[in-house]
Amino acid sequence: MATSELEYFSRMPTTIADAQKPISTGQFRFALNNGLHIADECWNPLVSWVPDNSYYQVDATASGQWRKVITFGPFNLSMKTDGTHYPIRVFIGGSSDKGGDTVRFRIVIAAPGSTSTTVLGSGSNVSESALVGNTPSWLAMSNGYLIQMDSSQIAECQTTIPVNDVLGGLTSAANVTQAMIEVWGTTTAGTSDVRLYGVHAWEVCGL
Amino acid sequence: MAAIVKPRRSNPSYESIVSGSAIRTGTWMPCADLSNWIKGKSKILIPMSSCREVIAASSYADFHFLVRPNATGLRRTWTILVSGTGRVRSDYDSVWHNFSASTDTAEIYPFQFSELVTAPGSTAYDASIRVETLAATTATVHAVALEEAPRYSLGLDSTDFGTDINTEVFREPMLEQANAGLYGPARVFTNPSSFYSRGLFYWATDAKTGTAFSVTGGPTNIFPMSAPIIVPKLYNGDTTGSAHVEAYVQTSASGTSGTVVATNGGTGTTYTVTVPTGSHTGFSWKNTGTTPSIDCSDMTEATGLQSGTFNSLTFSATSTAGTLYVAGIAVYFSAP
Repeated sequence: MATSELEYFSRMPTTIADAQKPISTGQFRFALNNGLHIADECWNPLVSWVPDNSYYQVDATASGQWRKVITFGPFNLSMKTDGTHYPIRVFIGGSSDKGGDTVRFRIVIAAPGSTSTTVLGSGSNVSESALVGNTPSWLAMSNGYLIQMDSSQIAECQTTIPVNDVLGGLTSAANVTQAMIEVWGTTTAGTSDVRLYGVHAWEVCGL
Repeated sequence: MAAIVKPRRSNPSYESIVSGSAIRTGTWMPCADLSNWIKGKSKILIPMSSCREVIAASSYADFHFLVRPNATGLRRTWTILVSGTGRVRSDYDSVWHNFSASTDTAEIYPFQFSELVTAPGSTAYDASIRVETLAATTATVHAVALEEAPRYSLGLDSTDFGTDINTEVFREPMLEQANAGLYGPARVFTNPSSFYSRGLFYWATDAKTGTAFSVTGGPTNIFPMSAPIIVPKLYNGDTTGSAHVEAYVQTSASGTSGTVVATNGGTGTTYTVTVPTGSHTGFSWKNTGTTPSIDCSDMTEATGLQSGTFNSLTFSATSTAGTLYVAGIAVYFSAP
C-alpha cells in the first residue's frame, strides 16, 4: 500500500521554501505527499535476465531432487521503516525439454551463503512454479509473485560496504542489507531436463 | 553539518502537518531523513542482465551498455556472473581485476569490482567492460549488473541536495537556506527529478560481427521470451510512463539498413530503432526516436502491476540488402 496520501506526485513550485515565503500548511502537506510517493517508487529492478535464443539447463534429476540453476546478486535492498525490505516481485520463464513432463522451479532470496538451506523451506522468501511441456513461457508462481525475507533472515543480511561521499575523497563505509537471489529446478518425471529462459526480480513497495 | 543517509527509509506522518499544529522536530527530522534516503540510496543502473558469451583462450569480449547515471553516484559497482578464469576491466577507469571461478554454471558466485566516478553527471553514456582470458584458460560471461553504491552522507549542495539534520532539531528556527530546515526536504520533494534514473532491461553480447546476434532478412526475434517491464508512476491519473529503448548495432555493408523493433505486449504498439545505410563502420547506439509508452506501477496492487499483469517488450530485428548485427539492447527509465 502506498505510504503517500495521494499515491501520485503533485506538481508544485520548487520555490515554496524560498526566502520570505510564508509557511503554508497545505503546500508542505503536498510536499510530504510527494516525498512519500517518490520513496514508494524508489524500487530497484534487481534481475532482468533473458538470454538471447537460448536457455540454461539442469539435467534430469531424481523426482523432487532440487538443483541450483543460477545465482544473482548480491543486492543492496531498499529497507522500510519497520526493518522489512521492499518485497521482490518475481517471474520465472522456463520449460521442460519434453512435452507432457512436469518441471518445477523455485526462486529464493536469502543472505549470501543461506540460499541453499532456505530454498527447500516454505518461508515467504521462496516461491515456486510448475510447468507441463516444452514450450517456454512466463510461469504462474504457485505461492505468490512476491518473496520477502523474515526478520531473522534479514538479520543475516546485515553488512557494511565501501562507499564514497566526496569526489576524489576517501572511502568510508555504509550499512546495507545484502541478499542473493537464486533459481533452482527439479523434475517430477525423472527424465526431463529443466530449462530456464528468463528471470524477473524487481523490488516493489508492496501493500 | 551532516546529511546522513540512514540505512532505512523513514515514514513521516502527513497527519502531523495540519493547521493549528506546531512545526515540530518530530515531523521534520523524518522528512529530512526521507529526503536524504531518496537521494543517497542504492540505484541500479543495470539490473542483472544476460550477457552470455563464451570466450576462448587468449581472447577477449567487449560488452556495451547505454546507461543513464545519477549525479549523486560517486562509486559504481559492477557485478559479473562469470565462469572460468581471466580478468575484467571497466573502460571507465581501465583497471584490471582478476577472477577465477568455477566452470559449473550452477556453482559460480558473482564477482564484483568498483570504479570511482571522476565526473558525476546525469547524461546517458556507454558503459562498457572487457573480459579477457589467459593463454590456457577460457571463460563464459552469464550476466552483468551495475549499481550506483549508496552514500553514507550527502553533500550540502545543489548536486546532492542533502539536508543537514542538525537544522531539524528542537529549538532550531525555520531556516530558509538551501540544504537546511524546511527548504532542504521541500527542494527534493517538489522536484520530479527525484524519481531517479534506473535501468530496466539490458542484454549484451561481445561487440564483434562474428559473435553478435545477426539477422539477414527477417524479422527474427532476438529473445525467445518477452522482457517484463514497468516504470514508476509519476502524476495523478497516469497509467503509463516513458522508457528509453536503444540498440547497439552495425550493418555488414554500406548499403545495408535495418530495424530493431520493440513491441509492447500489452498494447501491441511497436517502437522502431532505425539503422540507416552507412552504419557498417562500427557498432553504435541507435534509439527509437519517440520513447515507448509503458505501464507504470499501481500502488493499489500488491505486485505493483496494473491488474496484476505486466507489460512486456518483444524484440525483433530485420535487415535489408545485407546483415544487421545487434550486440546490445538497453531499456532504461530516465529521471524527468
